Amino acid sequence: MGKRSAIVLLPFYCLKNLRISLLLLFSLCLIPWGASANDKRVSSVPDCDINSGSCVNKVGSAQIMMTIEPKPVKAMQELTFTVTLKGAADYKNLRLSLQMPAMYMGNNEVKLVKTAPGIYTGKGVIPKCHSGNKVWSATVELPGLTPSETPFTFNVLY
Amino acid sequence: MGMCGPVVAACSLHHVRKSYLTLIYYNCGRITTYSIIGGIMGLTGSFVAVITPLGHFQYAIMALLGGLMAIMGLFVGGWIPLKSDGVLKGCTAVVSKMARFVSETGSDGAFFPMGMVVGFIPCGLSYTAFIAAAGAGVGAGSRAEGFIKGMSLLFLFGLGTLPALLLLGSLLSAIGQRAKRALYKASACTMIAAGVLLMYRSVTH
Repeated sequence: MGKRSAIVLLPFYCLKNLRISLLLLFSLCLIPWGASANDKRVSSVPDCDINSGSCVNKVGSAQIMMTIEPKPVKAMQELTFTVTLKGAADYKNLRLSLQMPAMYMGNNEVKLVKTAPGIYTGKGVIPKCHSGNKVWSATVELPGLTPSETPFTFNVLY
Repeated sequence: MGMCGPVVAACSLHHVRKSYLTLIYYNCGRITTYSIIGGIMGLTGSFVAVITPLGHFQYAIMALLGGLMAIMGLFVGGWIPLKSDGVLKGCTAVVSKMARFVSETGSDGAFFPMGMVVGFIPCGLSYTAFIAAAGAGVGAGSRAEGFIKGMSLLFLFGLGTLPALLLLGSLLSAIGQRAKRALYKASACTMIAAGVLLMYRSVTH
């Protein structure tokens, strides 16, 4: 069949196989929606070694340090997240969001409660992804600052 | 889609039926398992305490399901004869019954327990939902409240996964009905590939 006749016959093929065409069209529409589920602002390249110490980021004049215990940081076990703020406002509590940059794994949030001036602690679990990808990120929300959140990207042991 | 997709594909391509009941029963079974596990998470208030013993069971289910799918794919594709003599006779009698079930002689309702089994396959996304269910249990006023909250959360999570999997199953079933003969071997290959993938993941976890 020539190219021209194939293009001309395509609409008739689609009408004849309407159910398949509609399902395929609906599937194609879902692709950009699904792709946007992952936060593209988070890098998929680890920027700190959480297993050997703390991770430190700067947002303007504020310094944010995050540690995770116990070490080594493993998935599927209860972890204690501690965020220490210097040069930032005094928050009552903070929110930390755990994500896998390469794949949407749902909303996994850890509530960090103030335990001392500038120190916030909370417990959470990093689930295991059976794709084998071990890069995770912990994003700390900082209301009032610009940017209002800072991500830490690191490797987790499975 | 990554974890449940291969099983849905294997069932939809090969077990081609004109009713959508197989997909609905399969997904109801899956959501039932999620809800039960969510209820237990909410009851105990601890994800780690429940998932640690459950994890071994999950990987065993994954390996068993993968092995069964791969073997059935080999039978359905005709690479291993359904009737054998001697040593293989007893083994092939069991598998040939399963293969005949796969070949459209089984009832739609049988997909409910299959869906329940598939619900146990470990999945990162469902783990996140289980963590949330455990968290709901911690914040609950009583164990009963925690159980109900956890179960409700996972029921809603399961409903949320329904559109994508129903769409996949419907699409593959529609294609399968039209190109059944041409895809017969392809559907058997899909079953084998899905089974091998599940077994590989159960071993390398």
